[in-house]
Amino acid sequence: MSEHDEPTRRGRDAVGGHSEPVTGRTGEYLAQILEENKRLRALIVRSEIDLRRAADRGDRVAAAEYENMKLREKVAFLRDQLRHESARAEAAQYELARIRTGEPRIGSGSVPSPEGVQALLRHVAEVESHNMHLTHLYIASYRLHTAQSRKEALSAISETLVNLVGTEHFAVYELGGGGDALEVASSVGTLPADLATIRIGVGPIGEAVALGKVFVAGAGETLDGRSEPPALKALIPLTHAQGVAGAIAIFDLLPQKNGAFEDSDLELFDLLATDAARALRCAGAGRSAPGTN
Amino acid sequence: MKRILVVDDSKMAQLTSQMILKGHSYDVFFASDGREAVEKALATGPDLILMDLVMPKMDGLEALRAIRSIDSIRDVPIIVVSTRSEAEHLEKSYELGCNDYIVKPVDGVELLAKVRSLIGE
Repeated sequence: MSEHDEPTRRGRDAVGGHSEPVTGRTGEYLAQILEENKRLRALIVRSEIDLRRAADRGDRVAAAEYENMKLREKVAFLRDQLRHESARAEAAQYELARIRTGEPRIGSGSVPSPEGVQALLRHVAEVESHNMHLTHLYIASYRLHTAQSRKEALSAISETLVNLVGTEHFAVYELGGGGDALEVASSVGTLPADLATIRIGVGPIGEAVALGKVFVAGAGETLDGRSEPPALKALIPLTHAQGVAGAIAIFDLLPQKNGAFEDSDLELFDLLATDAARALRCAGAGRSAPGTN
Repeated sequence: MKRILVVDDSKMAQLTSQMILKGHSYDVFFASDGREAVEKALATGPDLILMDLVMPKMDGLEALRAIRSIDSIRDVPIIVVSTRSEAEHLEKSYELGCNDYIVKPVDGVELLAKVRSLIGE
């Protein structure tokens, strides 16, 4: 292989396996871009390692920067996914419009059957629903990532719960000074008196928090066995590498949710469990209970 | 390009509407309370307004009433977008002249369909 062949091969890879080789100045340009891409990626990996080392040494600012970087990566990943899904949705809608107008597919000349149209409609609805879900994940992640203060981080958590999950009855807890109990940092609606503080590892709810896992009640059920409101519907411990930093307790859903969480809510809870803890930590508010994760 | 004024005090709600609508070539701009909504509607004459109900300074119902009382903007279509799904809120909103009503969490497909039915693509 000659010196000039290398950029050509890389250029072809970069444009998704086109059969035509990319040669000459275009190939050189693509090779340059790929080199730059490689350099940037190495830079990111190196800074990530540096931050991780500094964080391991107990450098609080570096630890926050590291968490912040992980959040940025997640936002970038979600943005890519969203772009991909948008393209799929657009293609499906285009196909649907083509079928509705009876325009045959180029090169086929056939008009699809009613079953085919129904299948396509289902596909479009499915893609659009997935697209919406990704949009919600992206927005939640973006808002948490861009929070500059504890107030903004708490506001981002509340807005996610109200606008994306659909609840106006919840509490956000943070680790108290003693490091063994969670105290209410913000809340909407009336709280049960016995849940003003959650002692980590003590009682069913404290034990659930210590496990660091999300617990969700099914339709018509509650986590704390109460039949009268406010009864606990979901418990989301906020965790990061150092342990539990807080929790979110949801006591009721808006009427339009029909008393049940959806699959998309559960994914939002998973995102909140990690990203909300990071956002609070990066905003300088997060402490953690050692050994609880 | 059709211009839509999104009125909501929640940045997240604003961002959600923006992401849904911008992908379909609508120009989106914002107000964070009812008073700002009336001012921006007067200054810019949007093609449509998405109005939250619970907001500081001036709530969505007051803003709705104000917009419907000003000749130059009284015909702008308004969709109320709210967490409130109770009949009283719907009735009051329609009574004051909203054209449609959507409950949060916003379903992007529903929002787009209602926007299109009122102002087209």
